[in-house]
Amino acid sequence: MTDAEFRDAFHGHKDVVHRFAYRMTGSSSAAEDIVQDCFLILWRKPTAYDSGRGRMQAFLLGIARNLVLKRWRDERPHEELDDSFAGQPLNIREDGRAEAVQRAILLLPPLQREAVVLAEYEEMSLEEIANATAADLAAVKSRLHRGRQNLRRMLAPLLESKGAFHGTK
Amino acid sequence: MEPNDPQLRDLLREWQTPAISPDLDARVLRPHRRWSSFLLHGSIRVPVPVAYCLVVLLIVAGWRMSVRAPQTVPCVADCNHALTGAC
Repeated sequence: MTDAEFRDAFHGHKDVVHRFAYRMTGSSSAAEDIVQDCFLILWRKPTAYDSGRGRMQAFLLGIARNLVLKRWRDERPHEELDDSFAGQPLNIREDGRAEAVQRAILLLPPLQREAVVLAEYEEMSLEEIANATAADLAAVKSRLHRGRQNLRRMLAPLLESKGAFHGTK
Repeated sequence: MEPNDPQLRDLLREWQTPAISPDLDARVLRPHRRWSSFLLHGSIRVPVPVAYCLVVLLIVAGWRMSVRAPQTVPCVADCNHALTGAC
């Protein structure tokens, strides 16, 4: 990989990697550290990317995902990545709507969270998510389904009020 | 894509990510030049005291070499007293 190719890859994909890392960690500084580490790995070992196995974006998101999960394991060595978490409706009165959404997503177990973030925010297909997260399709479907269920439960007060406001309840 | 809930999706979109700080580009792009590139185009910063010491060392080394050089030449050519150490 030449300098120019590396720069193109960085400018082309830094935003999506940053968005993903930020939504997974909830921290700007952690997200930027992950972006930096992610591209450092690409620079040191560019042959790890095989264009025949998927898009560069999925490859970089896969690296970012591994970095996020490593941080998570370091911080919480005794917690499961995908536990039987059942979200409860959040108390939203003192929060803004965006803050409530942030809180709800960060409460999801990491494997549900990554499936939701990649599907809902990055609009990736199930196959692309499976490729980026090195999981099989059935596992991704299950995580996404449980993640959405949990979010609906946690954000129920906002969904109900929004539905009533728009007359779509 | 699995059938989803547009109402949930609209709500989720209300959480925006902050902008990337401007120094991230420099952090990622600046320090990762290859060694070959560094040898041709790189530069290093040297603290003034270190540079001063290096200059003094070079001057002293040069002076000592210039003082020693004339003493050794005649000894090799003319010395007949190698065994006595009088040379």
